[in-house]
This record gives sequence, structure tokens and C-alpha cells, in this order.
Amino acid sequence: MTIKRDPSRALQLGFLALLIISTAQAVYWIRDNVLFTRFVEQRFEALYAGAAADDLRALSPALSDTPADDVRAAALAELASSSDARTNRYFWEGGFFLAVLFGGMLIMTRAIRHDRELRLRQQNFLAAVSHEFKSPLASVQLAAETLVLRSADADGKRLGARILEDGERLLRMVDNLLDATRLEEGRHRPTLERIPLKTVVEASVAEIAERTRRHEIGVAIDVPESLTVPADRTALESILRNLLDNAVKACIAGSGHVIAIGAVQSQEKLTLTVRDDGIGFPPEEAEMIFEKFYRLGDELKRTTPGSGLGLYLVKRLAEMCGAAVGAESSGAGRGATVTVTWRKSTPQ
Amino acid sequence: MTTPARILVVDDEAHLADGIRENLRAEGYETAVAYDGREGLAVIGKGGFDLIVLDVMMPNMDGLELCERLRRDGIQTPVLFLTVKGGPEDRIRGLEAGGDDYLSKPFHLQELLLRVAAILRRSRWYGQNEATLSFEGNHIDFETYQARAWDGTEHSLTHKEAMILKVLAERAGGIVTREDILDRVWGYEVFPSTRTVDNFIVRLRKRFERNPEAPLHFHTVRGVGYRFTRAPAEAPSQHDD
Repeated sequence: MTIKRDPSRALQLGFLALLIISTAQAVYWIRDNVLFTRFVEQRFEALYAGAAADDLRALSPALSDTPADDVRAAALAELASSSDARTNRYFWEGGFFLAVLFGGMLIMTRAIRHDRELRLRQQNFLAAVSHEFKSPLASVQLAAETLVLRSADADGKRLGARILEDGERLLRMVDNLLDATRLEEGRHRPTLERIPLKTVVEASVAEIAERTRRHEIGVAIDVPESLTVPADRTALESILRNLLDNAVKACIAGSGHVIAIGAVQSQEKLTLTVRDDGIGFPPEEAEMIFEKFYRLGDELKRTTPGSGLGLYLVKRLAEMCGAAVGAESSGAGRGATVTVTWRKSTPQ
Repeated sequence: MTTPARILVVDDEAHLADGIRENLRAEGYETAVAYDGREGLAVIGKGGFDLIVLDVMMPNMDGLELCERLRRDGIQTPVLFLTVKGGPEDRIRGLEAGGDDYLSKPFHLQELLLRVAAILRRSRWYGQNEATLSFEGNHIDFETYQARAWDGTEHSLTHKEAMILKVLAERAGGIVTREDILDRVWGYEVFPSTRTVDNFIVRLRKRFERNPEAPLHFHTVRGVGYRFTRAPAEAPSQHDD
């Protein structure tokens, strides 16, 4: 399962580790150099102890005028001061290195935090948008359904049904957009459970019943009662909704009249099949139809309504549930079959 | 149906609230409407409702908070949640807050009406028959949801716990399947799994069994469901947990 973790968290941890290691390294480096300097200084002190005044004078032009009695003390003082200077330098260099590192990390951490806040705000926005879309839609749907159910005159019923149908289309679109956004942000956290396939199929078929009736499309369900699939419930519902929606559109566009939904379980796999005798597609495009925004035919003519998100979502959601998708058609106008296959080795 | 059930609709979307109300009224229910949580609370305070249709996201006081508050105050009027979010975790939150059922917006009118009828049918059933249950020192009052266990501890039961107890007690001695319990208590496919029932039984055992590990009253009938017995049975019970 590919659930993306919050990347900023990992990055922050990485930074912390890097900071600790770098600090340890810098401290070690400073200590090592200071000790080495100290060691060299001591060596020289020992050498100076046994050296002649002239030799000491030769070491440094600054000592050339120093009287013989003071030359050793002066040489030692010079040695001590240069050793101190060096030690000092190590501390400064090490400190500077750490400061730069720390500053850099601070800036990056800030940037990451800012980015996360932005993402959070975007998620809230998404939730708000979904609410803002669906609330008025719910109200529109309810009003339309009330017309269909209770209106005494035929026009009221007919127009109510029309509003209802397009409202449903809009709702499907909103659902798909939200699903797609969520998927792309890696925010779809599936909870896999064993779901009785038949009930979900029947519920989805009920959703399209009105449209299939009007377009005289027969729907056959051949799913054994006992079959269960490991899936996330909302994902599975979305998969079926999109598969059926797709099949209905294909039938309408290609004047097909049959949709068959079947499921077969064998030793090593379970296959859900949605077959229609609608518009179909060129066999060589079998892979492409699952691509995002792929739409059959010429967009300018728009023979079928839709956004090209449906089958893309089917593929992504199916993969999320551990299933693979496939499609076949023997050509334009000759129907299509879309399959979702769970292999037995899938988790659960 | 003698007197029509009284239903309160609480939703800040005025059109939706009114729409639901009109439809419920057309079905013969008596209805009232409130347009936010606080108003809802005030209206409920006056009492007399058989069901509350409650929106989750509302200004002032959201539906979950309102429902929790009702349950805390001992008001057990059934609640049907309506919400835009429809994920399983939202569903569970709604039920945890003390809701009885859950419908995501946009919903189908017929489904709303069916569910309303189902909840009312269940709560009517609950109100019938015996109002108390006593077994082996345990005493349960179905009206107040208060229970005193054999060890003297007092428990406030949730609506679901009380309903499960009632289903089991009604058929004491006989086997009640998990599906039966789901059907009678939840009435709708709110939870997909029968494991929910198991969790409730575990809780009931903890409260009313002397030894929850070796239950004498709440027996598991493996692979089928549960059997409740008032007096401890002779035969050792089967239990799978």
C-alpha cells in the first residue's frame, strides 16, 4: 500500500540527526586540533629547553635583538601565543561552521513548516469546497425528488426528474474530483475490510436504474452472494459507480442495450467484470483508457459526456485495494469489457 | 399508528431543513425545525420528540456536540445524523456521539423516509413490553438506561447496549444471530461488520458477568450468534474470546 507519510516530519528528523552528527564531528575536530596544537607546543618547549640562544634567535626575526638571558622566555612566550592563536582559530572555525549549518537548517525548517501549513490550509479548503458543493446540491436534489415524488402534474414530475438526473451527474463529478485530489495528495487512507460484493453491486445498479430504464438498457447481475473482496468501502463504491457510469455512457453513445456485471472466483483470483455492448474502443487503446483525462474520440465533437477522470479513478482506487484493472474491446462500436482482478496473494 | 410521531429537523441549510420537514409532514409526521445547534437544543428542551434529524456541520453548536449533550443529559431520543462527509470514520464518530443512524448528503428522499420509519419502528418496539430486566443480582431499567450490577456498581447504558440487552432478553434461552441483532438494533447497514455486535457483548459481559471470561448469561454460540440465559446454565458455555 502506498500511503505517503508526512514528508516534513521525516525531513525534520533527518535534520536533527544531521545536526547532532555535525556537532559531534565539529567538536571532535576542534578537540583533536587543540590537543594536537598542545602536543606540538610541548614538543617545542622541550626542544627549546636544550637549545642554544643563537639557535632560538634564528627561529624568529623578532627575537634577534633579545638579550641572551631572556631569549628562551621570549621564545616560549611566542610559542604559547601562536599556539593560543591557533586554538582560538579552531574554536572560531568550528563555531562558524556549526552556526552556518544551524542557520541553514533553521531557514529550511521554516520553509518546510510553511509548506506544511499551506498544505493543511489546502486540505481544509478542499473539505470546505466539498461541503460548499454538496450542501446546495443536497438541497437541489431534495427539492427535485420532492417534485418527482409528490408533484401532481406531469410537467413537475418530468422537470424534477431532469433536475435530479443532472444533479446526480454533478455530484458524481464532484465526488470524482475530490477522490482524484485526495489520491494525488496521498491522503486516501484506505481501511481494507472484506466487503460482500453483491450488495455493493446492487446498490450501484440501483443508482443508475433510472437512466438505464429511460435508455432501455438491460442490466444483468451475476455475482454470487457469498463473494467478498478485500477493499475500502468508499473506494469500492466509487469504482463501481464509475464503471457503471462508464458503461451507461458507452451504451448511450453506441446505442447498446445490455450491461452485464459478473464476478468469478477461482483458486488464485477473483475477477469482477463489467461488460457493455456500447461504443467500445480501438483495441490498441486498451491501456490508454485508464489514463487521466483520456477521452474517447474527438473532444470537440464530444460524443459522450464526462471528464476523463472516471476510469483513471477506477484504476487508482482498485490498485489501492490491491486489485488490477484491465479492459478489452474488439473495436469501436462493438462493446467493451472492463475487469477488476484481485489476486489471492493480495493482503488480507 | 395511533398518534403521529413527532420529528425535529435541525439543519442550518434552511432550504434543506424546510424540504425535509415538508416531506416528513407529507408522510403524516408531526414536525418542527431548528436552524442551528443552539436553537435545536432549546427546542428539544421542551421535549416530546420521537426522533431528531440532525445535521453534523452547523454554526454555534455542531450536531455531534448537540447529540453528546443530549445523551449526557439522559435524553435518549433517537438521532439520525445527516452530513456531507460520508467516510467510515465520520460514520463511527456520529455513532459514538450517540447517534442511531447516519445518512450522507446528498441523500435520496426515499432512503431518508425509509430510515426515519425504521428508527421509529425500532424505538416503538423498544418502548413495548417489559421495562426492566433482572437476572442474578443484575437489575436493568430500560426506561432510564440505568443498571445496577451484581457487585453493586451503577452503570449508565448507552441506547445500543440497552437495545441489545432487550433483544437478547426478549428471546432468553433461544439463540439470537448477530444479523438479527444488527437488524433489530441498527436496523440498517450502518456498520458493515458483525464484529461490532461482538464488541458490545464483551462490554455487557464486563458489566454484568461475575467472570466475563467464563460467561454464565451471555453465551456465544459459535459461528451463529448469542444466547442469553437468566439463570446460570449447568453446561459450561462456549465462548470464543
